[in-house]
Amino acid sequence: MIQDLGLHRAARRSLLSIGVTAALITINHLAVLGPKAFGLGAVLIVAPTLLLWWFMRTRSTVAFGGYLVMNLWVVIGFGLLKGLWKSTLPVFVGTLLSALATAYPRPTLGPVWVEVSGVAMFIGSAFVAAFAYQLVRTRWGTARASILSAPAGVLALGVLVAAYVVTDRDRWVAPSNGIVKIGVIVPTGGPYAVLGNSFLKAVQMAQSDLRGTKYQYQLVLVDVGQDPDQARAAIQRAIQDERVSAIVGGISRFGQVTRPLATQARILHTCVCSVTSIGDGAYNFTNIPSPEAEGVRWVQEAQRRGIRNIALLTQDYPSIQGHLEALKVEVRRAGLTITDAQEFADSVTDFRKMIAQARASHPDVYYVETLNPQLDVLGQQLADARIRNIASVVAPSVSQRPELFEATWYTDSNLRDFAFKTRFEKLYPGTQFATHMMPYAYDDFNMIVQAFERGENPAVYVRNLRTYEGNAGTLTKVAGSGNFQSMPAVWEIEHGRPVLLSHQ
Amino acid sequence: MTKVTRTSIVVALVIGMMLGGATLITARNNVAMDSAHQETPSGFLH
Repeated sequence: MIQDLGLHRAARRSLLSIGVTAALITINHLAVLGPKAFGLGAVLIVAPTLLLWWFMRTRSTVAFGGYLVMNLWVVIGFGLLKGLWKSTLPVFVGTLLSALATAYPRPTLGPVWVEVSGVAMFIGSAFVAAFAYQLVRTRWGTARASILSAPAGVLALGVLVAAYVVTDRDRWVAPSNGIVKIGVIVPTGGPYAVLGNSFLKAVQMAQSDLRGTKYQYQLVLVDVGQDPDQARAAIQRAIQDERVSAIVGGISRFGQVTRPLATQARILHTCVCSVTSIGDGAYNFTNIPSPEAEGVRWVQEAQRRGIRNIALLTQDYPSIQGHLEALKVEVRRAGLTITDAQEFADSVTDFRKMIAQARASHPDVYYVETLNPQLDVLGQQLADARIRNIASVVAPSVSQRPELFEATWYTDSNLRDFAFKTRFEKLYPGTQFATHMMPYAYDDFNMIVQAFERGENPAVYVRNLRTYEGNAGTLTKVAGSGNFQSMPAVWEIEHGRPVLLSHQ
Repeated sequence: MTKVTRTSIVVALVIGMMLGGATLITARNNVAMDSAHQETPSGFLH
């Protein structure tokens, strides 16, 4: 009778702990499974309840065994493998290790509620284990039920923490057969043709420039098409089948797809991408001047030229809005005046009314930024209106008719040595040189090469970099950041060609 | 205070610290890694 009371109490506690933990598991899995998580939760609650009810009525060994299997599933499958290994250890141990040594990546964590429910899942599973043990002892023995011995639990946890510390560290692995495969992930068609081909040729030029290296560097060109969603499979193939050791990439929409895949594979991914969140400082790093840096440099040049009043003629497009917002901040800070601001859709082809309105505001300079083909249409209509005081950020460098923008000045990436551009153009006469892409691609490739030549894990090597003397000038990166910063320079179209006017 | 009560308080404190710590650490990590929001490309089609 007394043993029955004890068994009932142990069973109630055990079932309660399973119910609470199943609720936590359901919450945690909503992010991955969506509404199906409720089905999982229902299974985790109903199945043990029925098995325990069956056991309490019949004392069936099968029912008791089934109940214990459900407990093991909760404890090992959800508590240890998921709650402990994928949430609790990364949150606490992973964060601590990354703060202590750059050989450890900063963990990539999910939203707060996912990670906290993961930790709660682990705690809940500890109670499930303890009460299941208590139930087993009550069921089979007359011995006093007790919780698991504390030293054994601490020892087991210590072993798991040690295993995590060992596996979380990024180590140098010498390339097999002395060949380093580097994935090149950039779209080269459609709207990305100019930037993508500049990027690709820059990486190929960097590869052909290598002399006397310890290892052989092979490029694995990944055909990502023009749709980022379809690019995922191609990138996965490059990582899994081609076994690339690092990735150089460009264009943010593709960098966003590459980021989680590189993190999962624990390989370095450098990206000439303006979306700064791609650079997580663990495995992913961006390398491009920020819109803020462009804004600062543009306003400096405007002030140097005595410009006070600015008219804006810009396309309604996210990239351009990014530049414009940063520019407006600097314009306000410097006390300059925007006399007129007009934004147009990509369907507009007749800009004459807009030009007339802007002219009526008597600006010192017309800030013009749009993508092609509108850029050259607008350039033609500005030329027809005999307007030559034009400025921009980057845009004229991708014009197909730069002669339309004669005397236009703009900020764009710096070049440490202009001969670099000349050499590129000689090597690839049919490829348009995108200043905003090419030097960074070249530098990104060389960072990876330097890491291998030094015998360092590439991701750890780049995490440790603070400055890099690159083709676009000095790149800087603050500790822990995933974004290399660089200062743009001022360019001008002279005799139909971009000319670098100033260094930073 | 009985041993059971004392143990319960310690366990509750440990659980509270773990959940509170996880909340703080994850929130700070997500801000640092800037993964909580999506940006649109701000460079020239980059």
